[in-house]
Amino acid sequence: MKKSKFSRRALLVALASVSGWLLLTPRRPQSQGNASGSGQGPAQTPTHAAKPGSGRGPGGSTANTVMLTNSNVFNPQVTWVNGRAKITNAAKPNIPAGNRIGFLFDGGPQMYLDQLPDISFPPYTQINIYTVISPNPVNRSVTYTDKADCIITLGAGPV
Amino acid sequence: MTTKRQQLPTWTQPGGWEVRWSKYAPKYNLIEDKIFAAHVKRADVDPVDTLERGGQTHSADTPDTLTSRHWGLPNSSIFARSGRPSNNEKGKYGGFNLTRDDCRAVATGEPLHGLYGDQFGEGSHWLWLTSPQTRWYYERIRERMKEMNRPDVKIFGTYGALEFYIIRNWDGLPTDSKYRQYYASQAAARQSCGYFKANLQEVMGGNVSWYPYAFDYAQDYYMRAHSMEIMRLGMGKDGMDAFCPLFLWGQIEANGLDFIHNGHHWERDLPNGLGRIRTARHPNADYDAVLAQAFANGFVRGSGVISWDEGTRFGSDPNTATNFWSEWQGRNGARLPFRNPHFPDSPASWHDACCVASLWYQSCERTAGKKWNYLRYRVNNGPWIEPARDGATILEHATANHYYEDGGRLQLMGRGDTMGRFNGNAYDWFYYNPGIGKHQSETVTVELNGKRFTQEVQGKTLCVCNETA
Repeated sequence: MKKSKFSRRALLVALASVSGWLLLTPRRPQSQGNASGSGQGPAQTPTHAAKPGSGRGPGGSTANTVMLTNSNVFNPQVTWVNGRAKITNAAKPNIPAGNRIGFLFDGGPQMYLDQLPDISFPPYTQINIYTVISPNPVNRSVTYTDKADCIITLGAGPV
Repeated sequence: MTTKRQQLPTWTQPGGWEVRWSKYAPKYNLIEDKIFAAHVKRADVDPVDTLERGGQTHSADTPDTLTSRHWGLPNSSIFARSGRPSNNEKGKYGGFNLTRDDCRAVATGEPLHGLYGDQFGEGSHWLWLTSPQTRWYYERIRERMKEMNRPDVKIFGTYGALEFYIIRNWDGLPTDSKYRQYYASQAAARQSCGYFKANLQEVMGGNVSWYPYAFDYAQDYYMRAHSMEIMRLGMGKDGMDAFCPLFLWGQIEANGLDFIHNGHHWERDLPNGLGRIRTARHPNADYDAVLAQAFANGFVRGSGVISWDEGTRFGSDPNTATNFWSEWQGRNGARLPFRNPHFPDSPASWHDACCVASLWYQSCERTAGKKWNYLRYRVNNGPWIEPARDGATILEHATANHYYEDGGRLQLMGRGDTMGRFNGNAYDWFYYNPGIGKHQSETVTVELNGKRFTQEVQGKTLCVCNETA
């Protein structure tokens, strides 16, 4: 059984998905925060920087591993600062005029536009970064100019 | 009081390319008649030996002689045996012209898989789930179950059918009455979708599918949780007697009309230095997202998990590669090291996440048979968050912290979801918040039967605890 890339079911679901998205118009105007439009969102329930041991354990990994698509779009560099990992993009992707680059971590929902956020992660975290380049990256119904998926699995960090 | 917080087993490697559960996971019989159905995805294992490994109840790879432990997913092309023309022939829709006798004859010729679903939405004679042909087919399957004394057969119908209640996007706020109304009663739940309106629960169970359709799939967790609750409420007493597993695929299919695999190339440098293989395959869902979906929406809310994929069984030599949709960048003239079997062509460790979900569910065996209930909880000593009185707690979790971006676009963030159950002094509970990042964590206190338990929980990361109090 090979998965069909262009199955009728997939197309139907994709259509349903898009139409659902287009219908996703706000019904209640009670804004709960002043969004920046860059996906930063409102202040939520207070959280703090993730602490070591707050995750689900290391599994079998001890060193950082990276699995990725399209390293010309996103190619991570991991830097450890005070026991936490910061991630930067060593790639220099082509962003055509009128396009923007967006980053989604682990399925969002926040999308960070134009640059990576200044955030860091404790050891043993797995981070799945999706990169999209598009005239309107936050719109699900567009075809992306370029895209990438990068899975970084942190190890123990410097001892 | 003692606490055991579940950790990833050492055999799983979330940062690896290989599927490992089918070779390394321990064997056990899953509690509560839950199912864990999977593909072995490795060439170096005997599929029969993988049964009960990681609690696996049904395998797609076991031989026909083990039909009761096999899960099957026939395509509508089996109806070609009727002699009717395919739907693809101009002006002819043979699938919809199949007679009752045609459907019964085809059903009579099929093996009785222990776990039975179909792909009748695809193939030459594609059919709607609610077509009379699909019903005729399953009526005959159920007759054969009695004739052959096979009460073990579990039917989940067409995977991901649009006629099941599977929410793929919110239209407005999740707490809108259009979603909330279905919690009122079983009769209300049966107004939710075509499956119930056609009374198909009389002949088959159902399924809720989760194929991520876009990169921003965090809200999918709430959508599938709500879908599973309504499907099971509509199907049986308290939704507990119905058969409705989560049908899961851990890769990302499409982004609106953009087939999202287009232009994606997984890159891997061979350890022997001979070159780099680039393979056009789908991007992956996050391991932790798969683990949470499988645990909470598959095993806790549903009847278990079907971990679906195509059937390739991979080799374990990382110096081999596929030549299918591949681009080879050899060094010094090295040729593509194609072998069959070959090393995985995209990261496949998400399969292990489904097995870890099974393992963590099994850790709740002391409370087996008890009902999972939503818990009141607080975050960082903030106000207590109470379960909804009408049962629609998950909709309130999904709606929490929403806002409108410039231009009026609704952004749903959500908050943590927690459920628990107890039996004597044994307490099991879980917490998961897909609405914050993994760079954040929360100090979570839950209350279960008057006892309070506290854990520090990373964003987008499942926490499962087994307590003795």
